[in-house]
Amino acid sequence: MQSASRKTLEESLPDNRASLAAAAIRLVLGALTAIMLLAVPSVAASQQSFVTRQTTYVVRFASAIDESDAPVLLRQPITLRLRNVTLERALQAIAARAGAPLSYSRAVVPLDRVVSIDVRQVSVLRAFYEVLNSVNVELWVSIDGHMALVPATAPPSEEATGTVAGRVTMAGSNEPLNDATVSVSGTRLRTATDNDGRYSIAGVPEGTRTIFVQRLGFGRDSATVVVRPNETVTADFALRPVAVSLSEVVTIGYGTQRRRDLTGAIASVTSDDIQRTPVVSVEQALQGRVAGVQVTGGSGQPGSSAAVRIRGGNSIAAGNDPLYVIDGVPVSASANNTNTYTLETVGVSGLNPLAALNPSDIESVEILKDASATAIYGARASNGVILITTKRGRSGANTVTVNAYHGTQAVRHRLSLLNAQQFAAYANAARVNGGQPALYTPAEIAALPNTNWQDEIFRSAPVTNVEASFSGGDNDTHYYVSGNLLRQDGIVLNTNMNRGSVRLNLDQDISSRFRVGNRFTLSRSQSQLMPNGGGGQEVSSVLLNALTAPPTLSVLGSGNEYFIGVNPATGRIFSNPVGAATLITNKEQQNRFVGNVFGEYDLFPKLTFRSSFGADYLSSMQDFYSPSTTYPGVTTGGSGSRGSLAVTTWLSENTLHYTPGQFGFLRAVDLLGGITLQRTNAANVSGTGQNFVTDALGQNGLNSAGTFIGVWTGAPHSSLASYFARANWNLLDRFLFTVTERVDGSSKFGTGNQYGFFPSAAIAWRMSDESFVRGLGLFDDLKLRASIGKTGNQDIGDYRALATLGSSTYLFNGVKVVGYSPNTLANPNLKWESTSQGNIGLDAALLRSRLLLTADVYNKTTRDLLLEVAVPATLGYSTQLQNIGSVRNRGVELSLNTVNTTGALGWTSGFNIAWNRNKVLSIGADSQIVGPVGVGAGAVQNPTILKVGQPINSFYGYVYSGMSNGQTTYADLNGDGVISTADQQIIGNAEPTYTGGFTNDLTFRNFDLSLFIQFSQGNKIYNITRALLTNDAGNNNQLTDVLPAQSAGANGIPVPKIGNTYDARPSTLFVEDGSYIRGKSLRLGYRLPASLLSSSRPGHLQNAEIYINATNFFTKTKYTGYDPEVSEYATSVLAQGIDFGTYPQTRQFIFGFTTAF
Amino acid sequence: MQTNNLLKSLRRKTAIVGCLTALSVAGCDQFLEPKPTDVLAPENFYRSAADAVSAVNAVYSQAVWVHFWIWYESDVATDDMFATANYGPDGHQLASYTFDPTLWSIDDLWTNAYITINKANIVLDRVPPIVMDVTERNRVLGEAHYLRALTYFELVRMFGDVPLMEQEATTVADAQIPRTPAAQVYALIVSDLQTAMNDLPASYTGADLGRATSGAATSLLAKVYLNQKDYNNAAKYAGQVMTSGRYSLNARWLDNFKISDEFVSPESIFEINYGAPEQTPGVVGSVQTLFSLPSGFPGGDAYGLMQVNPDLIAVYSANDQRGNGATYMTSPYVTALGDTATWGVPNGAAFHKWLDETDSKDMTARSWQQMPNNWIIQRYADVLLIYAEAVNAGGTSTSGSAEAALNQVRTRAGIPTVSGLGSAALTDSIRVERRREFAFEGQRWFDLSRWSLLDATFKAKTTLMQSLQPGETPVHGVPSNLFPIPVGQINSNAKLTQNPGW
Repeated sequence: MQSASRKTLEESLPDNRASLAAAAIRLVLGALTAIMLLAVPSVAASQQSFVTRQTTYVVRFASAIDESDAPVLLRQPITLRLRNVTLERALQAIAARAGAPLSYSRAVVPLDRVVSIDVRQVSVLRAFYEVLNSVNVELWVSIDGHMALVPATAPPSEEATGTVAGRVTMAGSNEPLNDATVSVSGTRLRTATDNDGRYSIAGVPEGTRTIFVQRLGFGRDSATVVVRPNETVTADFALRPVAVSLSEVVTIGYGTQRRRDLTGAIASVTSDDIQRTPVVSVEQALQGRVAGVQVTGGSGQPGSSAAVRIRGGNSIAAGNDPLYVIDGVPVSASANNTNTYTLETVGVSGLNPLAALNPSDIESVEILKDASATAIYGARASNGVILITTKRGRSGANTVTVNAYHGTQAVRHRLSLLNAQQFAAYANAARVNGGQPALYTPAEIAALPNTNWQDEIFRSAPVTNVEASFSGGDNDTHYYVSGNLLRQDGIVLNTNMNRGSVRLNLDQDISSRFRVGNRFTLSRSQSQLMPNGGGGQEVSSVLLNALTAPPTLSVLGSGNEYFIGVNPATGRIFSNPVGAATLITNKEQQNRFVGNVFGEYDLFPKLTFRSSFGADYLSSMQDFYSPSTTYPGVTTGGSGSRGSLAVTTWLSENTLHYTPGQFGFLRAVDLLGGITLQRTNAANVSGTGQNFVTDALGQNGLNSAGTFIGVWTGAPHSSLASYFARANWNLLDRFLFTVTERVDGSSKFGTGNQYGFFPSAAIAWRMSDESFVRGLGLFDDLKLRASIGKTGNQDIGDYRALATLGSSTYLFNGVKVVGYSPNTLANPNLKWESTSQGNIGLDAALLRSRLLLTADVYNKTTRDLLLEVAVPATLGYSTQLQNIGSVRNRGVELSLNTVNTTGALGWTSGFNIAWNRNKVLSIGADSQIVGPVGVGAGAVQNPTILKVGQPINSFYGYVYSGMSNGQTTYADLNGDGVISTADQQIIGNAEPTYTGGFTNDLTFRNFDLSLFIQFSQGNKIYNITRALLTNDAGNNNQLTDVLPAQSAGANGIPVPKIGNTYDARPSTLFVEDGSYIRGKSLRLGYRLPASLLSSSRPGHLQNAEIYINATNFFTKTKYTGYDPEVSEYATSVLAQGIDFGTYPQTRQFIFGFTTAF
Repeated sequence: MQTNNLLKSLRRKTAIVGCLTALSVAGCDQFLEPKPTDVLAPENFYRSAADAVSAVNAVYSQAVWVHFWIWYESDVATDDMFATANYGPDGHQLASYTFDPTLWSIDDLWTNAYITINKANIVLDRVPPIVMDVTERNRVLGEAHYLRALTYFELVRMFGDVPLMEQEATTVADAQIPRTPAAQVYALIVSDLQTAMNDLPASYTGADLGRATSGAATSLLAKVYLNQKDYNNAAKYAGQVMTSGRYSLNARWLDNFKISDEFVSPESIFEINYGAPEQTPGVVGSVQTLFSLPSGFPGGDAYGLMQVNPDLIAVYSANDQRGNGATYMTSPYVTALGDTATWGVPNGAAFHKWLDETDSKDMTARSWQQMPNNWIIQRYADVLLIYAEAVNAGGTSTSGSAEAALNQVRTRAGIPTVSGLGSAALTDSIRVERRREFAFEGQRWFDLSRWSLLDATFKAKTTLMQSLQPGETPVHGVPSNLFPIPVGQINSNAKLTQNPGW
C-alpha cells in the first residue's frame, strides 16, 4: 500500500505540471524575466488550488500503525503536551503542528472526549494514534495534504471477494494497449489486457486495493479502488509512454535515491536488461549498455575475466578495475588475489571472481561514474564503483520462477594456415635458403598426412543453464531463494566451467521500528582451463601449438596414443596440442560465500541506525597435472602441482541515517554518517613435484613424486578503517546539493600516510521546475548536474611500504642453501593514488518523456600514481614503489533512450556512445618506459611502452618499410644509417576512439524482439599470433599469407626469402585495426497468451515465455585474427589489445524458456 | 532547536550507538598496523649464527646474476667472436660496437653488481654485533669482503669511477652520490681483499665447498694489483698462491669445464656456482652453453648466436689441446655420444668450450636457465699468467721466472715451451697465451683494456667483419677503454656523469 500511495503521488505530477505550465506561460506573458522568476519564493505554495482531491493514504487506528508507510506529512516530528483537553482540541493542535487542514465530523468522532497527550519528537501519525487509538475511525490523507477522519470500514472478510475490471489505453490517443500487466497489491492476482485493452480480475478480497499496471515503454500507473463483495469495480488506465521513469529508485552507496534527485553520474542496468541477453557473468551484461563503461571480453575461455574500464584507465601499477560492491559487500575482482600461480595460464589468471554470482539473481546494477557518486567509497573508488543489488521478495506475491536455456557455441572463423604440402615446400625452401639439405623428399611429401590442427582442437560446445527462484512474503517477512546450475563447455577441447549457486535473501520486520535481514550467496565454480603457457611447467599454449604444429604430423601415433615423438621440423619432442588439451589437468575450483546480515533500528521516526556485518569468503583450489604421455610431462616423468588459497574478508559497517525532510528552509534533507572496518586475511600453499611413479593419481599423487620441486606459502593480510558522511538537500525545490566525504585508513601505506581524505560536492539544477523552462513546453524534465571531488586507489600488494626480506638459494658442493636479504626498500612515505574528477552532466526528458537524453563531460586526473620507480641501482635496489606521475582521462558520454512506437507494435531504443582520451602526463624522471610489462614471447615481440604524452596501452616498435633481399627492412627514423633502438616509435594504441551500443526492443502481440549492437572504433590490436605465424624460419606452421603467391595481396608479407625472414622485432607489420561493430545479441521471445494462463488462480502458470538468442551473430571488422574482442592480458593494466594465441570469443545460439507460477 | 533536542536524545541513547564511538582513532591505528606474518622484516632477523650465514649466502646468490650475462661485455664485445643472424640486436650491437648507453645488458650488470654490494654491506654492517663463534663470524665477514671486492673490481674495470657504497643503503637519498675516483674504489677493493685473505680459511669441506677461500682472495688481489700496474704486489701475491702448494693445473685442460669436477679440481680457485633447477629446485642455471652452441646442435636448446672469429682460431696450433674440439669446433662435429652435428648458423666455427660432453644435462637436455655449467672467476692458470705478466713487466720475482710460469700453461696445453725471449717478445707471448687459454671465460675485454689495446683491436675487427659480414657497420671505437654509464642510472641520479666519448 505504501508504494501504491507514492506512485499515485508521482504519476499525478504531470497534471500539475501541465497546469503549472499554463501558469508559467501567463507569467512569461507578464514579461517577467527568468532571473526574476528565480526570485519568486515558491511556486509550490500555490499548487494546492490546482490539484484535485485524491486520497492517497489511509490509516486505520484499530491496529498498530506503521509509520514507515506514511506520507511525509504524517512523519513530521512534533512535541506536544496536553492534559485533560477535549479530543477536538487535541486534534486541532496536532493538525496545526502538521501544517495541514483536518476535516472531521462530530457524527463520526467523539470530539468531546477528554484526552491527555505527552509526546516528544514523535511523528504526527503517532500523535494522532495517541489520541485516536480507541476510536473506530480512519485517517485519510489526500495528495494535496488534506486530512480527514472517516468511519472505519469493517475488516475484510476472507470469503468476501469482488471483481476489478477495466481498460488500459494510451494517454492522449485512447488507443487500446494489449498485453499490459495488471496486478492487485497484496495478492498474487495478475492478468494481461486483451487486444482491446480490457482486463478483468475476479476473486479480489474486499477492501481498499491498489491496482498496478505496467507495459514496456510506458510509465507504470496505479489506482486505488474499494472492492465490495460480489460487485465489479472499474479501474481504467491511460498510460503515458516514457523512456525512463524518473521516479525509479536508484541504489547509491549506502542508500537509495530517486533518479530525479540524483546529482551524480550514475547509470543503471536492470534485471530486465540483464535477462535480455543470457550472460554467464555480470560484467558481460554491462558491455555496450552503459556509456563510458568499456568491457573487453579478453578471451572466450569459460569463466575468464573481462577488463572493465569506467572512463578509461587511471592507474599504471595499482589496478584499473572498478570496485564491485555486492549488496554492500566490496568484493575483490582482481584475479591476482585469487591465484596460487599453479595453473598454466597467461592472461586468464584462473577463474573470474565475479563468475561466482548468478546474473539472474541481480535486481539492478548501478555504475557510479563521477566523483560525487563514488566518493562515498573513497579510497577504492578511483576506477568507478559498480553496485550490484540482488533481488528481494515482495509482500503478498509468492512467486516461483523456473528458467532454463540450452545452446551451442562455436568459433567465429578459422585462420588460413598452410596445409601439409604447402608446409613441406615451405620447410624445404627455408632449409635450402639456409644452405642445408631439404627436410622432405618429393616422395615423402606425397605420403604425408594432412592434419588440420584447428579442426582438431576446436569444437562446437554446448552451454546449459537451469535456475529456479522462490520469492514472496507477507507484511513482515520477505524472502528470495534461488538456485542455479550452469554448465558451459568451451570451444577448445576439454575446457569448461560448471557453476552451482544458491542464494537466500531475507528481510524481516521485527517491529515497526526494527528491521533485520540478510543477503547470502554460496557458489561453487569449477573450471578446466586451456593450458596456455607461463608458469614453471613450460607448457606452451594449446592454441598456439595448434596454430604452429606442422600439418605433416598426425594426432595419433602408431599405437593410437597421442603422438609425442620427434617433430622433424624442430628436432624436438612434439608438443601435441590435442594431447595437451585432452590429457593435461589444468583446473580450478572455487567455493565462495558473499553475504551480510544487517539490522536497522529507527531511533526516531527520521533517524535510523543501521549495522551490518558482511563477509566474502573464497576458497580456491588450483590443480595442474601433465602426465608422462604428453609434453611437458614426457620430459619429467609427469609434472604436477596443487595450490590452495583461502581469502576471508570481513566487514563491519555502522551508519546513522537522518531524514528530516524539511529542515528550516531546506527541503528533502538527508544526512548519512558511518564508520566501517574491513580486514582481509589470506593464506595460500602450493606444491609442485615431478617424476611420478604413476600418472593414475595425477596431482593427487604429489606426495609420491620422485622429485619434490618445492612448496610455497603466504599469508598476507590488510585492513581498512573508514569514516564517511554525506548530506543531500534541496533548495528552493530546484537546486539539489550533495556533499560527501570519506576518510579511509589503510594498512597498506606508511605510518603517517595511512589516512586519506576524499571529499566531493555536487549541485544539480532541476531546470524543468523553473517556469521559464516549463514555459517552453519542450522538456518534461531537465536537470543540469555538476560535481567535483577526489577519490583514491590502494590496489597494491600488502606491506609495500615496509622493507621485507626475500629468500634466495645457492649451491655449495651440490647442496642447496638459503639466503635471506632485504629485497624491497622501505618507503614510509607511500600513500594513496588520488583522482580528481570534475563532471558536468545534463538529463533531459522530451516529447512527453518519450525521449530521454543524458550527456556527461568529465575530466579526471590521477596523481601520486603508485609506480615502481627506477631508483639509482647504486642503492642495491633497482626500483621502489613510490607515488609519482599522473594520468589524465577526459571524455564525453551520451546516452539516448526513446520510445519510438507505442501502438500494436511497441518499440523502444537505447543508444550510447562514449569518447575517452587517456594520456600519461608524467612518470617521474623518465619520459618513457619501454616494455613495462613482460608480454609475448619474452624479449621478442613485446610492443608495450609507457610514454609521457601518449595513452596507456600504447604500442612501440619499428616502422616496417618493405623487403630487401628477402629480409624485412625498417625505416631509419633518425637517419643515422643504422637500424637501432632509436628507430622505434609509437605505432598505435589499444584505446578506442569511441565505444558504444545500440539496443532496440520491440513487442508485437505476444512477441518480443531485442536487438543489441555493440561497437568499438579506433582501437589497435597488436597481433603477436600473426607475427609468430609469418616470421618463422621453416620450423612451425604459418599463415598462407607467407606463400609467395599470396604475398602480392594486401594481407601478405611481401615476397620473403623463406628461411631468412626471422625477425622478431615489434613493428607496424603486426599492428592491426581492431575496430568492430557486432551484433552482440539478438533475442526473439514468445509469451504464451494470457488466455492460456490461469493467472488468477494461485499455483498456476502466470507467465511463460520461450525464446531464442544469438550472441555475436555478426561482426564487421578488418582484424585478421580470430576475433577483435581480444586481450590476452585482460587483467593487466599496461598490455591491453594484444592477441597472443588468445582463446577466441565465441558465437552462441541458445534456446530457452522462462516461467513464473 | 530541533537539533538540540536531537543531540540530547542522542546522548541518552549512547547504549545503542555505543559501537560507533567505541572505535577511537587510536584503536583504528592499531587495527591498521601492518604485521606481516609470512615475510621477514630486517628488525627480526640478523640475530643468530644461522642468520649470519644465511645473510652471506644471499650475497653469493646475487653474484650469480652479476655473472649470468657478463660475457655480453667481457667476450661478445671483443675480437673473439661475431654475432650471428640469430642474435638479437643487443648481441650485434656489442659485437660490432654500435651499442649506446641504453643497452640493457650494461644496466643489468650495473644493477646486479650494486645489489650484490648492498647485500655484502648489510652483512658487514649487521653481522658484527651478532653473538656467535668468532671464527665463523670472521669467515662470514671475509666472504662478504671478498664478494664485495670482486663486484667492485668488475665495476671499476668496466666503468672506471663508480659510486662507492660502503654501508647498507636505506633511503633513496643514500644513493644520490657522484662517482668516486677509481683509485678510491681500488683502495677499498685492496683493503677488502687483505681482510678476506686473513679471515678466510684456506679450504672448506663438505657442504661449504665453493665458498670463498683465502686463496681466492689472494689470487684476486694479485689480479687487482696487476690491473693497477703495481707489478711488485701482483707478483708477490700471485707468487704466494703459487708457493702455497694448494693449487695446480689440471692435466687435461678441458677438465676445467667438467661439471663433475667443479670446486674439486686442483686448478679451481673461485667459481660462481650454477645448478640445474630441475634437479635442485630454486637454484639458478646458466645459459652461456646454449647461447654459444651452434643452431640445431643435438641434445636440446642450442641458439647459435656466436661465431668464432677466424682470427681467434688462427692463434691455436694444430696440437694445442685447447683448439679445435675444445675452445671451438667446426661443422661437422662428432660428439662424445657419437652424434654428428652439422650447422648453418653460425656460418663457420662455433664455441665448444662450455659444453661438457661428459655431462648428460649438457648433452641431452639443454634448456633455458637450466644449465649447471659454472662461470669461472679464477683458475690457477690465471694466477700463473698474472705472475708471468707482472714479473715480465718489472715485478720482483718471488716464485721463479716469468717464462717458467708461462711454460707451465703451455706445456699443459701441449705446445712447446718458450725460452730466452726478450721482454717485448715475452709480453706478446703472454698476451696471446691469455687469449688461447681464456677465450670466452670473461677475460678478453679486461685484458685488452689493461693493455690499452681495445681501440686498435676493435678497428681491426671492424675491417675483418666488414669483409665477412657486410652490413655490420661499427660506428665508434672504444672510447677511454670504458663502457658507458647506463642511461637509466644517470636518469635516476643526476650526480652521475657519463664516460667521455659516449
